[in-house]
Amino acid sequence: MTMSSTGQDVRQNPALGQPILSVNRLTVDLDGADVQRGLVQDVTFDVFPNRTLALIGESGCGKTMTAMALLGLLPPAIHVSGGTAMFEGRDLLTLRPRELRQVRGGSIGMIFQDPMSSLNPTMKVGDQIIEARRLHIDEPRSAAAKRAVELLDQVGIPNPAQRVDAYPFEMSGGMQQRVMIAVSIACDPKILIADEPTTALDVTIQAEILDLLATLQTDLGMGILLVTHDLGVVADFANDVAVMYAGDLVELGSIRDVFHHPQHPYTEGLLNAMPQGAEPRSQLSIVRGRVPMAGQFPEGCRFRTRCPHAQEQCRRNELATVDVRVGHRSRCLLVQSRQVSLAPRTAGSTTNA
Amino acid sequence: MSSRLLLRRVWGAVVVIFLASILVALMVHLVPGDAASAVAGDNASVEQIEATRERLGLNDPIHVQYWNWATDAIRGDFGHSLITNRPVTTMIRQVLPASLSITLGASVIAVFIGVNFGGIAGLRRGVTDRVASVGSSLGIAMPSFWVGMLLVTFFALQFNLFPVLDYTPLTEDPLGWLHHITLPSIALGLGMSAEVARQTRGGVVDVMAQPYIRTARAKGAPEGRLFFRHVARNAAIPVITVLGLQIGRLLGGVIIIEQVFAVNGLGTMAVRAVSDRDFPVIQAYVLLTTVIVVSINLLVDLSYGWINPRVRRQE
Amino acid sequence: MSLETSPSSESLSLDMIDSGHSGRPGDDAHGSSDELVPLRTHRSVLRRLLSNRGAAIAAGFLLLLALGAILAPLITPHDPNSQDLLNTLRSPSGEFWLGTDNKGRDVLSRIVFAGRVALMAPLLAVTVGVVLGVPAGLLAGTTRGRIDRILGRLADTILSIPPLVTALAIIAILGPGLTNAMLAIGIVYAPRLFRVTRGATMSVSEELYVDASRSVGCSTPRLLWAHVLPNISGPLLVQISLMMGFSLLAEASLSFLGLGIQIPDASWGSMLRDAYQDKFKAPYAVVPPGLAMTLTILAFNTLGDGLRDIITARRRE
Repeated sequence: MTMSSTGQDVRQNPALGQPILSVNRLTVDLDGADVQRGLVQDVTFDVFPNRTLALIGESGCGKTMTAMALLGLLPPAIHVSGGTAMFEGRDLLTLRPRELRQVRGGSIGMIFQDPMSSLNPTMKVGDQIIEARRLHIDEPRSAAAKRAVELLDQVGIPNPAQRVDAYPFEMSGGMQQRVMIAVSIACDPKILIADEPTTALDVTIQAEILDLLATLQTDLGMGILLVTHDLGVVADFANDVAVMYAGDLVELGSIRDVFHHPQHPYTEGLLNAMPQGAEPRSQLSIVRGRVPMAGQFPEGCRFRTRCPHAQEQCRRNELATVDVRVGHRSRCLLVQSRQVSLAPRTAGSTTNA
Repeated sequence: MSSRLLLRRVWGAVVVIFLASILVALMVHLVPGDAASAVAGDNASVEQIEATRERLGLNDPIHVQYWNWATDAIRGDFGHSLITNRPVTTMIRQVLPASLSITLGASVIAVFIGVNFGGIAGLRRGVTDRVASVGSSLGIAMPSFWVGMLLVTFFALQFNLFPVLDYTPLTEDPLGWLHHITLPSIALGLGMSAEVARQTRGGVVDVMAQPYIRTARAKGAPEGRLFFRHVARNAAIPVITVLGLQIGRLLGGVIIIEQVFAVNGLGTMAVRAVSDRDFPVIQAYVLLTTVIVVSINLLVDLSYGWINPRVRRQE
Repeated sequence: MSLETSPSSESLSLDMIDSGHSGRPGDDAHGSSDELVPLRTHRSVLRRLLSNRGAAIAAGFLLLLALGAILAPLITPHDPNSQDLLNTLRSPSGEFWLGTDNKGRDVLSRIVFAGRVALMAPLLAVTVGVVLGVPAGLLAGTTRGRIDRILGRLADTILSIPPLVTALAIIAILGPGLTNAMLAIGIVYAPRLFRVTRGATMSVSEELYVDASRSVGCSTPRLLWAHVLPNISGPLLVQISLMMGFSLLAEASLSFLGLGIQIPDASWGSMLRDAYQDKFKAPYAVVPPGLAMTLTILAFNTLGDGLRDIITARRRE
């Protein structure tokens, strides 16, 4: 099954039903004519209701850019140069500012990495939630205030009626992130985009936040797009995973499939490098070389300079991401054409805290 | 506002005023050579010099001198001018309104122009920003009294729209008052507005780069109105700080502006007193301006607590 | 167990697009995003200064001004002091490029000659300020404790009095005149230099290399000379540059009031006063001295800002 030019076919397991967000060939570039294309290149994935898709990769792989692009939050000098993001029958990437503003915070919520600096320090926590609500829902302030208290309760903040009047600096990092979550779900969004929500938090708090997100997902039926670099978080929490490298989406599939039967040399390299499951005192395996910087991406497959299986044909430019098994896509030309076959992995090496 | 914080700030202000009063009261002793003869002048006779010495209280021990001066000062008695013999307090009361009016006018102009231009420059960036940056550099470099002179020659002599000289008290003729203080206030306020614009722009740019602005966008906030809500409160602190710092510059600048516009104000009085070495007047003047500066800075300090809840709640 | 820390990722993509560091200096958990870079090599400083266009132009202007001041007798078309009472307050002409003043003297020549005052007077004030403020700041910054507090209080007190007012008070004590006026300005500015020096000294002495030097037996004076001074020279230079501009303005103000430079000498400030007295006869005579002043102050300020940009290295965000 190859990808059609309009990307209409279901890219994951047909049993999953209709996606709520369908991103197709999203490309993000730096402004300026002479810069090499593709901070994010031809990225294609779906988000389904009640399921979490993890967008995973190292720093600079473009995963955050991808997430930001969906809501038009790209930094200045960076723009979307191609692709579509279909949500509720409309392409998010071509929405007019007023329509985009309605989507933001309304039907799509977003939470960010550092809750301390992502909340307005001079505004009470309750007011920030109230603002999120009243931007989209026409209700009197008192009703919004009541809902704010309920939301604080829902995200697990004790004494919500008092805490509504607290300022962000009066709370711990974990509490602040809960507030951020409350802000993002204030209008019952269909999708939650979470950009590294636990990276800035202690490990124990991480687990609590992830639990909270899982509960909220069940309660609200949201689809979640989780951007992270932490494989542990992915294994615990996500249903599906999309692996990114240097702006490319190299592999996409369910957790089981990708972690047990990786279909791309990069994914395999990453999984092999996990210290868990390695023999004591043995040498940890590494992926040779360095991640290329933006503007210095190799032609064709961007991973080929570091790939142990690389061949001459990998230089070709138009590499499609193709289903190699049902609902499991890979960009590797060699895997697609069965010239290379990657060994399956045992379950032990991916269980973790 | 935490009362402990309040008390500490007020106490700090009091200490500064106290120390300043020491410097001021004992200013006369710093005159090289014999103070009394220096003040009395070259043509003074021995009796006159001795009389001056007595007037200046130089015959008393130092701590007595300070005590006398300070206790009088607190009651509002700053002695009498060595030249005219009029009570200093009366002199000040006569000339103060004019200076205050111009200073106030300059502040209003500075805040209005500065915050608006600076805010717009910070929000829009691009060309507006560059123009504003060049403009503010120029504004800061141009001596305010030169601006005053240019305004005088331009307006009064060419166009006759505004009165050039003198001052009309508010109580006599409100419209005339406004008319008279317009040009001096503009001259004095333009320089300050450049500084305010700079600080405002800086504050706004800093705030706009903060992650919580991105969160506000992600919530669906429109760029205009709600951004004002998020940006203003956070950017206010550097702006108010600069206003406090500028008060000293204003009080100094008004001296020369008064010369340019022939206004009989506090500054004119001070300059005359300095030429004549009329120490009682000088002492009162220095103390008065210091008290004004300290009070304004205290207000600025206290306002931080009101603006930034973190300051409020952490003491 | 994450991709960031696993040995496999020798990546450290410099762009760090993904990590959302807070833009506020000091809040960044990974260390401050503002670092003081010491002015080690003169050449590197010069190069960076020149790359900042504004600062380069400013420096060039000041150099030109200095040259003009030094070579004044050679380059001016007329004698600045020769009066011609039949030719007063003339407009600019071929013979007198900027016209003549109220005593028939060539304005252009006077401006060039007064450029000497415009550079020397602030230099005097700055010297006074540095001599008073810097050693005190070094002392306070290294010894802390009582001396620090006393000096600090003194500095705060002087800073609470408006600058020009302090200057007036000092002139009342010492008498009018250019030297006294510049002495006054120096005293006015000394507390600011004190504060900057003290602050920089304190932050430098908290750096590890000072402890390291001490542990090897480095004595305090040597410490100051070899380690502290080079590292505080940056912020000091910035302040000095700004102070030059401020001093020029103050000198002009005081001279305008008749308390600074005394006749027969002239500065741009006193030229302004003379020109203004005849404002009805020659309204635009106030332009040349004021313009000269504005440009020079602008140059000092721009230079100071450029220096400030250089000495503060920012980590990429």
